[in-house]
Amino acid sequence: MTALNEDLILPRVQSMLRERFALSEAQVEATHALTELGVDSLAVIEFMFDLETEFDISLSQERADIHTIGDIAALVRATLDKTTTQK
Amino acid sequence: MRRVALTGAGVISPVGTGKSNFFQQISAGISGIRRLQHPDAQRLGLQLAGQIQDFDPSQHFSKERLSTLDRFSQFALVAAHEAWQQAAYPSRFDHSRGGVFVGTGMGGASTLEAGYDALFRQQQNRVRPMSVIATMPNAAAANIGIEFSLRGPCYTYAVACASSSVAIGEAARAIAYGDLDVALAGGAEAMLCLGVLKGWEALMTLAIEDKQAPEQSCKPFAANRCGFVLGEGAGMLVLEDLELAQSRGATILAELVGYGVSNDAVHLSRPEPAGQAAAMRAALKQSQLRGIHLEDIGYINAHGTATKAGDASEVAAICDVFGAHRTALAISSTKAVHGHLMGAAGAIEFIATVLALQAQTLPPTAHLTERDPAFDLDFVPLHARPAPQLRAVMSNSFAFGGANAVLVAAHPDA
Repeated sequence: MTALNEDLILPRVQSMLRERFALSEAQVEATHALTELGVDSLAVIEFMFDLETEFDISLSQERADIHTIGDIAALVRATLDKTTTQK
Repeated sequence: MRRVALTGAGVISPVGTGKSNFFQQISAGISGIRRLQHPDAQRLGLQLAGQIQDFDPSQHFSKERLSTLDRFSQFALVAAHEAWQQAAYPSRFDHSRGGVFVGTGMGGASTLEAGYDALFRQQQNRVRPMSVIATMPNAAAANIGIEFSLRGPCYTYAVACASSSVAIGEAARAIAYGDLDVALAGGAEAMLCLGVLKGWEALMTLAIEDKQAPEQSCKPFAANRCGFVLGEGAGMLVLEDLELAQSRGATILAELVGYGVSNDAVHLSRPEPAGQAAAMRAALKQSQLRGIHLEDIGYINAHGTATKAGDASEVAAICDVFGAHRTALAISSTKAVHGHLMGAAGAIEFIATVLALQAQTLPPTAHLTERDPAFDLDFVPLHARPAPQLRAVMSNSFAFGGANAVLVAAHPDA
């Protein structure tokens, strides 16, 4: 995913969330909080693992506050940026 | 001291899921030892196991839940559900008076191995996020506690092959002392992964394959016995304060009347008849308080691992403890058909013992065509036998490390 357009990150995250947690399109708005969607904290960690695979990044050293789906996309974007800079 | 009733039992084993299937198979002497299904099976000396091959986890758990559950916890939950359902325990109760006691040898061994495989073999630089939570030895107990809202003690015992006998015995003790009203107790094991299998192989305690009849490779008490076959599964029991169980109208399967333990304290793997006898005597001493005497024991489900030294030691210990009564005793090892379930062995074998008491039928020692001539005991060879006067039964578990645990159950009308 080296040439990933920034605008594609959020839709991809939303699509992965829908698939994994059987959520509707309306439920995965960027402003929605995962906890309000009934997603368990351990399931969020599993989801982060999937994100690592999908975007070829490492999130294990990241300690960002993640509340909303938009936060996840932002974290992925920031980590990708960092990775690109380091490369 | 309060009395302890057994009101529910659940089994998932290489010879069937559900206690009825389980008891039917062991009574018929039908072996659950099969060709091991594993990608690296060809690297093993003994490519046989008591493997549960028809288990579909997705039938029992959601995908999300499964990511947190090692196979041993899955087994434990399946067995616990069956036991709890049979006990028909009321949904409203003082949850702080309910406990969980689980024995396991190696906990989430396959999750641990999958992590190592990813790191060392696949050269990945990360492991699954649930690796710790799924591997931890107390994962099965914790999951049972959550599932059934049992908020008293939630303990895990790692006493090798005696783990789940100790778990059941300690649960009984907690109820007898009045600390608890109800407990789910038993054991679970799922360690048919390459590293563990190789470890057992190196210890040279596993059977040599019987080429004519591979499913009969484990031959307890036989002249040509050569070791055990590893198995996997779980057994869980519901234990209750007997008076409370009676007052709620529960069906009582049996009363747990004796629990005895000892430690050889001499050797890490060599069995010691004196230590084994001490555990049996301790269990019998406790049983006497409930009016069950040595002469009332009609059946022993032996530890019976089919190793040269292990069976000889157990036979010597039984003869020592039971003296003249040994001629009236029936003894069998059901490991011949379900394999050695390690941390779960004590639980499924105690359940086999209780089911034998209920059915008044003795499960046989399968594949025992030629008894070791040095052993002068009735091993119920090959075929099940009716035992219409069976009043009390014993189950032996002897562990690597030297710990011994013995459970005695009595018929509810005894």
